[in-house]
Amino acid sequence: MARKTIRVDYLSRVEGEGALTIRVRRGKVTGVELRIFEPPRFFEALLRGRSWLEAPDITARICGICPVAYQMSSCHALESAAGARVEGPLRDLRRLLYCGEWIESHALHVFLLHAPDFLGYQDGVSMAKDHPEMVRLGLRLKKAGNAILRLIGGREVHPVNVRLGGFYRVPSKSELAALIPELEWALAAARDTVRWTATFPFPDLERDYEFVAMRHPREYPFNEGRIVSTKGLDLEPRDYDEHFEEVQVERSNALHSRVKGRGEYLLGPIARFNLNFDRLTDTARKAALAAGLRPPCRNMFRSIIVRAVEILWAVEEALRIVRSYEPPPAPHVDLSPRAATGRAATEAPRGILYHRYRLDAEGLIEDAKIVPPTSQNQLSIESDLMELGPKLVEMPHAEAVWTAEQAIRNYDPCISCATHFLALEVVRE
Amino acid sequence: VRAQVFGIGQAAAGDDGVGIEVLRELRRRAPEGGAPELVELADPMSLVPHLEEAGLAVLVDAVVSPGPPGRVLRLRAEEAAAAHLALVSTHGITVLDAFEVARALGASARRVVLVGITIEPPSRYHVGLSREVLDAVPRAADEVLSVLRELSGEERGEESGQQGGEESAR
Repeated sequence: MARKTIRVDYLSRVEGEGALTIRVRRGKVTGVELRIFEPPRFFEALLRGRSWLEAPDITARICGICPVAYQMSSCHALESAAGARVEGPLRDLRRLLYCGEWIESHALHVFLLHAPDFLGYQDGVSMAKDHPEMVRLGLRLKKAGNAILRLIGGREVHPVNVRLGGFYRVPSKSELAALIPELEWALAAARDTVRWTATFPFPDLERDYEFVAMRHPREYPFNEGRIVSTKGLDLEPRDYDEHFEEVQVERSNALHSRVKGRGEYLLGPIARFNLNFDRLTDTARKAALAAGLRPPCRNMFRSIIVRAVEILWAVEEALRIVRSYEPPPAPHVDLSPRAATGRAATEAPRGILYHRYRLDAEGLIEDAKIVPPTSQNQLSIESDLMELGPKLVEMPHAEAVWTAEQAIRNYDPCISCATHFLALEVVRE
Repeated sequence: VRAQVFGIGQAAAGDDGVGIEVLRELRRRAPEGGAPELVELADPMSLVPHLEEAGLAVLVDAVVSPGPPGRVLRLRAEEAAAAHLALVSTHGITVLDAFEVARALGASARRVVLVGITIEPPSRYHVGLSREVLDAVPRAADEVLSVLRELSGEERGEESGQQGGEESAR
């Protein structure tokens, strides 16, 4: 009647607070509970009664790592309510801003949060002592992303220059051109990062995930496209609520998301890569193939290589936009509110971020719904841990905790966003 | 020796913005041309390259504490890191993690001091400081200036000691 509990009371190197309990009975895993106890912050309630113009700035405060994602999803949803589209150089500047966020967010995760797991270090600080050159490279890549955020967004964290219809101020051609030398360095550094991460040892864990990502007719996805999946979903973002549902579970302050009638699904870099491999640039595709990465990739531990590939792609895309930029005639297009509901999804670094707003005729927000990627991935994280369970129970406790945390960090979870993370408990019953 | 004061925080996360507010107070007091370099930071990791270059550095940040908010603490950064102070983080990385990374990369830790202002855990979107933390801003600014005077004095003492040593050696 051997019962065992593996418990991680606090998960490190993730954004926010959570814990993990694995229950084991007679050598078999009987349950996995990922508990998110970061308090809910009630942003959706905070938005009610506010002007639609405030939504991009308020929602950006949900996360210090992916504020651009919140600004982009809110802008596109609210512009959709107004029946407006932003095109031309303003659209390109939005993509450039998103490039900056992907580069800085992925670089932080690859070099300081996730690589230590693969190389056997407790954290990025201890890894920096033995691998100073790679940590410096990672910090410089992150800085290159932050420089884009500072220039287009007005500052590195919680940008203040984004507004409905575009921006408060747009950069001059020469201001953007000043980014080119560092982005050219970053292109070579990103190639090195793909090669470096491909040398890591990867635990053997493959599952039959339903990958879900945006797909655009021509581009690797950021702000536009249909929501598609490897199990047949193909829908407009406005139809999101018809196909996905959120359920409350007692153990978590985050709502869990499911495909209606089917269950868990997986968002983020691997899903984007598998569904949009043909939309990558030649350079990024070749780097991925040379690193042994081809779709479909079903091993979430290899997400670190995919993030490196996405850094490479984002640097190339940023260079393309910067080199072809011609300033728009006005920094934003004028919009008028109307009583309507607007919905949009964009690709945050961690996956699809869905926003829905109902407005009155004056542009006051009557209702808001925000579904961040980490809460959508939570069921998939638990299933990965169920699959890993038999191996975890055979491991010494410290190794089990290490492997479980590493499996969770595959998702680069952002619990602050999801609270809507990790202490590991294995209960042997 | 280059002296820099770094104010770290988020103005829209209530009392977490106190580091930024202390920098504003120092700007108001600064004599023309005589002020230390004041740097506002929201992302702790962007501190690393600054610390690799800085001579004297004072880090001003909010410290989450179960005690009353508005107390002003002063610690050498390595002492603060060893004490595992609860600083507010971005993606689990605090200003002291950034200090440790900079030190691992070879930055000198001799002249890095943390001036911390205790706050309750920030949990809501909120612009502006609580009364207790706002009242601590002038005291924290006094502490920063006092730290800079002492660090500069130590630096001068070491320089003259080195010169004296060289002279005696001659």
